[in-house]
Amino acid sequence: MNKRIITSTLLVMLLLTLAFYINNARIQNNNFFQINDTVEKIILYNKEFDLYLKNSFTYNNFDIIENKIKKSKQEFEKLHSNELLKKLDSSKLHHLLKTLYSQIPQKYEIIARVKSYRAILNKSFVIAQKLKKDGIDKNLSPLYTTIMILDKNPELNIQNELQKLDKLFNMYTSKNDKFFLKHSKTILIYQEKLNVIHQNLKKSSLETSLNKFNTNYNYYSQSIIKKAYLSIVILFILLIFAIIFYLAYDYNLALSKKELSRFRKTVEDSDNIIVITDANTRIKYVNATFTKVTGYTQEEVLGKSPKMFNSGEQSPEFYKELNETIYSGKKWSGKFINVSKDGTLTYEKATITPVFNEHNEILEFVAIKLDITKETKSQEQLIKKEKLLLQQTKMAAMGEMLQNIAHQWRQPLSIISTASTGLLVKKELNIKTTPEEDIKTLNAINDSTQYLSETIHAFSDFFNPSKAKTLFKIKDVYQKTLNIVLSKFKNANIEIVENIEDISITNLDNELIQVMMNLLNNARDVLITKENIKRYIFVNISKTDHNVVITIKDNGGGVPFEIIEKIFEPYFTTKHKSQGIGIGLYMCQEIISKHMNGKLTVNNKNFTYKDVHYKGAEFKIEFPLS
Amino acid sequence: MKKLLLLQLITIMLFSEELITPIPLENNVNEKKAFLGHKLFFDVRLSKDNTISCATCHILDQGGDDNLKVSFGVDGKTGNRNAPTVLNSKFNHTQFWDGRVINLEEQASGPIHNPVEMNSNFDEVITKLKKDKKYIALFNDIYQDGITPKNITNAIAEYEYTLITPNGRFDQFLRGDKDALSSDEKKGYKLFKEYGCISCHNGVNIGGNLMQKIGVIENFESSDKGRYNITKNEADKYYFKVPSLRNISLTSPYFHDGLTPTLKDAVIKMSYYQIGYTLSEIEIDYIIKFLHTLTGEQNFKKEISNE
Repeated sequence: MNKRIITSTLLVMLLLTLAFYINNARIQNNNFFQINDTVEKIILYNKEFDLYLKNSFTYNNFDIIENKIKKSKQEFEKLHSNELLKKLDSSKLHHLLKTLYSQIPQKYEIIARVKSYRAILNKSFVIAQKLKKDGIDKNLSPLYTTIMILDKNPELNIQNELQKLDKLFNMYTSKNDKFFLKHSKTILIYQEKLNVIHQNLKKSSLETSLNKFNTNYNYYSQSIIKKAYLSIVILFILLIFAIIFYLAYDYNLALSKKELSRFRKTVEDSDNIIVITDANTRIKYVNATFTKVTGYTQEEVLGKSPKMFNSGEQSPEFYKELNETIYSGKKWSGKFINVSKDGTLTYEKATITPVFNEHNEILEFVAIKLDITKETKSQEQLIKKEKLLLQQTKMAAMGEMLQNIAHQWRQPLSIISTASTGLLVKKELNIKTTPEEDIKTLNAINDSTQYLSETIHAFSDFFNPSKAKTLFKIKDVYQKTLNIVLSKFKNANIEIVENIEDISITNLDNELIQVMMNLLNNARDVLITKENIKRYIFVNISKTDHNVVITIKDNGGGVPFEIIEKIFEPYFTTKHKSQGIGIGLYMCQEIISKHMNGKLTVNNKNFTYKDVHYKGAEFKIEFPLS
Repeated sequence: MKKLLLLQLITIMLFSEELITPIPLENNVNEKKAFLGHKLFFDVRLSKDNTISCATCHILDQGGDDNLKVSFGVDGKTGNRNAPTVLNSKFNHTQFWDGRVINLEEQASGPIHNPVEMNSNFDEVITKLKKDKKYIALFNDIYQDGITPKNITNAIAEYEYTLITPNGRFDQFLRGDKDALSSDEKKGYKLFKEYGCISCHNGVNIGGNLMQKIGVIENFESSDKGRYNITKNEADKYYFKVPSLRNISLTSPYFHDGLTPTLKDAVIKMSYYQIGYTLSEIEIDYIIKFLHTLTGEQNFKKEISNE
């Protein structure tokens, strides 16, 4: 904007200068022609005056010459009062002018003088003529001739004639003769005076001075006007350049303005919060989204520091690092926990970018922030939910465990009970027992106790979630799992067909037990609903180049097509409420994918086993070998 | 030689026909300016004590002068020169007896400042005129800058341009009416030419276009040295403006000193000092008769109207 004003001002100034120069040149030009015209007129009048002065004496109507003098004086006055002529910076011209100013009035005086002399001469001539006509002495005829052609005879020595004439006065006595002599003398005297004037005229020629001035002035003016026109041309070219520059600049400006306005609209309409501060982090711009998210209007925050949004949730070191980054001229990215006008916390994912001016100084900071409060909160909820789920699973698993424990302990406990009771009854009834029998009985008790101990060990292992990945054999893990669930399977008359490779991996063993137990239990739950078929579970543990692949397949008919997509979702269950809460498979997938870097998938399979055709679900666990 | 002389004579004759021209019948003046100038011409406020106006000495129905030897200014002071007529003064090429100015504007400021005439100055005059609303209106109507010295003299001069006396009998004669003059008057005109009077008294104003020495042949005794007083040039001694002969019979007394009361005396003095000759009584009579034909019609506005 500022630049535009400066450019416009410069342009206007240039234009004004040009106008001034053109006007100046015009004035100079006009003045030149005016003065030239005046001088030419004076020259013309002077020529007429010279002609008048040279002319032989005749009767004159002095009005004619006086009118010319009047006009000539007007021109002379024009010349005399011309302001620009006074300011000429040429000493030569000033000198010539000075000569003119003295010579021209002299000329007028000479004409006035010549007029009066000529009037006298004319008068005396007519009187002499009248007297000649009226009759004068014949001896005076040569004198008459002499005076009549006096002005045509410049060689004549008038002084001599006057001396001669003076002698004649005594020789003639008639009134007319004396009158004639008087006027002859007057003619001689005034002709002599005229001659003197003519001689002086030749010495100082006004015409020469006028022409000299005219020539010099023309030369001077032309050089001045030439200079003026040159400056005009230069200015004009400059102006054209300036206009082109201005137009180009304006065009660029309009273009970038258009771009800017587009950009601005984008910024204003953006779902991102945009805050622009000056170099001292005083807010100078916020967009509409800002107001929507924080509740602060633009007026409330302009000129203030963004520190006002500080919730105190983040450490001073966080802000220190932020300031160091942006003031060093680098972009900063991170998350803010800020406080809104109504006191609620907002989570903002932000990028702060310093903007530099042409001198590479920080001009402003642009913060672009995305309100992630909702996302953050839902994630927190998710984590909480997951914890809850895990807890629920554990509890469910524990219930199952206890069921299993109860189931598995029933037999050994009954053995222990039977053996010890049998032994006790025999002792009370004093039935003799052989030491071999006793040992056998005690061994049975001992074995059973041993078994109990082992199962407890297995369970307690299971309840300790793996803290770190350990190296284990998958076969062992599978065996442990089987130990936990086996009793249930025997009751259900399910045959487990195993094809197990011996593979060692480093991973979470207890989690794997939990998953496999879950999958085996699921298979069993399905199979026990199927009557009239032989119930199979196929367990396959193998490895590919990089992965361990564990498949657990049943012949339970497969997962119905319409729910196969949903079975890994939490709280989805096909079982009766008393049987499950629907988090088993969800947890399995969570464990495999998130904790063990693997994946759990399900597919329905058609297959043939011992010449019988079956259909069933196959769960596949894959995780990397290392 | 004879041929040359003949040629000379012919040219003289040819030129002599045009030596005097009649006063133009048309006179273009600015009516508004002339009206204002007329008012000023008759206004005594132009003088110091409000006693003298231009018209005091230039009495328009007495030939445009005051018929006094010399005029009376404020406090009855007198100068040393006879008041020339204001009539036809526009045709004069110089003004005042010594020809010190060339136009009527410049002339008009002369008497205002002359101590023996109006003895005032423009500051005083303008102060007085500005009290008159009519003047303010009249000046503002004509001039952008209102009442100024230049505008006062400009208006007076414009009025003076109207003071012309055209169509006198001699002008009618010049225009071709050969019967406009009697034979005596024609003889007078012939003598006027033959004695060379016309060599100085020529042009439309029959004078007023030449500075000439009084006493060319015989010395004219006068304390007034004429133009010499202005130029201090020896050659200008006794040089005066050749006065107009128009309305000459109305403008006695004559010459710059006003010491010549009658036209006859004036003719005799002129013939003596300027041509060194004594005219016969009959010649003088003819010439005077001719001079009377130079009186023209005086149809200009004379008296100030009562508004």
